[in-house]
Amino acid sequence: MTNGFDKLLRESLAAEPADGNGADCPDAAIVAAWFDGTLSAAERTAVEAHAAACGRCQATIAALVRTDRPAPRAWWRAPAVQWLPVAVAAGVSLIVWTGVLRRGDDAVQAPAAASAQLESSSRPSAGTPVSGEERGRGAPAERAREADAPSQPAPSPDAEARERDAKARERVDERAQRARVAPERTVGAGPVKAVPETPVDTQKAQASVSTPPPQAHESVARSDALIPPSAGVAGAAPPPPPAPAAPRMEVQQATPMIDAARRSAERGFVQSVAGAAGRSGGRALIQSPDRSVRWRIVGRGQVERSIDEGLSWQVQTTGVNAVLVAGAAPSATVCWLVGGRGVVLKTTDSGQTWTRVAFPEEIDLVGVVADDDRVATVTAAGGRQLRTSDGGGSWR
Amino acid sequence: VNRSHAEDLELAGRCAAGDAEAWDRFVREFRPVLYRAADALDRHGGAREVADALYAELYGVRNAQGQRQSLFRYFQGRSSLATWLRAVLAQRYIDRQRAQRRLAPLADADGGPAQGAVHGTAVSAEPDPARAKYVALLRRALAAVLGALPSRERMRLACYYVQELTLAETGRVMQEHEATVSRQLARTRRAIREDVERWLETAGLSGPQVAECFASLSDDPGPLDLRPLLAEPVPAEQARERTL
Repeated sequence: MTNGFDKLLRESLAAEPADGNGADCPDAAIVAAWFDGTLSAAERTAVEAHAAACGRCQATIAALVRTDRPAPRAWWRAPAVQWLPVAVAAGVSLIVWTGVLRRGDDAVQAPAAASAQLESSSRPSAGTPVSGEERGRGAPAERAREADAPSQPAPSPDAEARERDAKARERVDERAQRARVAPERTVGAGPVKAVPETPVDTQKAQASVSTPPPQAHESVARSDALIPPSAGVAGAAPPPPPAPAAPRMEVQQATPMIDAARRSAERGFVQSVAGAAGRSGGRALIQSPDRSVRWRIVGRGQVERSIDEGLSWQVQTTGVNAVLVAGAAPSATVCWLVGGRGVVLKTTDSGQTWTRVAFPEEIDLVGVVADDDRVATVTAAGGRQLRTSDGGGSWR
Repeated sequence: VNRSHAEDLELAGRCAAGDAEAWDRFVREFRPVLYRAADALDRHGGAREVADALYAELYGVRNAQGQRQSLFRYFQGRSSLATWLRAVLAQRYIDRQRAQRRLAPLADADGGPAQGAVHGTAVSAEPDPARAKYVALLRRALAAVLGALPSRERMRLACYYVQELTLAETGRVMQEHEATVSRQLARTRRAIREDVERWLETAGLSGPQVAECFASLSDDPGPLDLRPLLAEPVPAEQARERTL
């Protein structure tokens, strides 16, 4: 019965949603914001209410979820391969270490065998079993080199020290033996296992998430093919800035109810996007009430100011190395700028000096509207707005 | 790709303005995102066409006035650029799928509900009138109960039952933990069942008749589900589309 009921439930749910034609559906920006969790509560409720009854939006959301998969891990990022350098380093260390021990041992023993001037204590005889490590490192050549090495006058051998060395060598030989028998990953098991596995994996996982996949060469190689072949596009010079009241495209179809909910939240934001629409050569333009005076953002922490309606521009450095996104100039001498990670800048002297205004949160700011040098409202990427009425002394 | 929205907005603005360097950067960083999403939507490459068309629009096409209009102008920085791109791609892909489905010939040519006709032939050659009546009643009851559900609960149900998302994926949509989704789904399902029982009783059915209604579901193989009958050749995505 459960199965039958579930089937009926599924069928009823599938039959219910209206076959939306997209005219009333939230646009891609809203859907994406919903997915990223940056909608306000009111917006989210409105979008959910719509999507709950809209088959198109449900399918879109489901498709969006299905495409939210992590980048495939390159073979060199596979856990087993990532351990390889560690294992190799550990193995090399082990070999070097045992080599040093053996050399030291030989240095002690060679003079004893050669000149018999030193006491005839426990040098491993030719009958001593050849350790695995010795077999593993191409012993003949190595030992020949060692034998050819100039004999150094050995310090007077201490029986205890020799015993310690012999024991250490045995331990090392045992490890080398194990390393040869065990799979590659466990080579040098001692040193490797000293590294906690889980944290390393976690770090690597985080690194793989936070860094772009190393496919740059592939992308570059294919990028030529991606330039759209449409006529009049390829090789075209950057077009003049699009008009702010550009015709809406299909992805911009906003639900009236969503519009109502988000209009107030986006007031400042839309103004900043109008700045984006008014970009000049990729630079956000900030027009002051004085027709002749305007600013434009030209790069990280850099702006330019024009006092002749944009005929000529003077570079101004804000002193802050940050991405600047939007600005507002309530007068010819005052300008506010906002950008990523809570950057808010202000000038009250036509840009001769820029001051970083303290902002309480390190969030991306994407819009600002200002009444004067004291009153301004900034909009965060999530649509949240904070206002200051004391020049940035406090925000709420 | 893990960047701040402000950086994404800056990049989109520069791309919209025709900055070649920015476009190169966009292609380098976001092309894999878009193509990976397209492959996830349709592993047979159907969504790649949509992604390629999207590239052309992102680069910009000239309007009647000769100005180049780029889709980037509609990126507002309210989400990451990667999510926005995936959302645009998903929306267009779904629209295309739905348009293609509308163009497909109907299974039933003589005007009757195609779904019912398919079910009718699949269920039994001699349908039991009483059972058919009970199932019809249950359908009506379910429709009424589902119509009264809060939108959030309905959305959760749709994600799980209709879109066939996993609990984790449903949680991603609803911004809930997987365990919460599971708990809520069970609770909602139980509530639906109780409401349906009440609805049936209100419609004049006695207790035993209501029980018989539900029992008829266990006898009734239900709507014909082709997926178990068809072996794997049908792509999962297309199969999911059919349930819409």
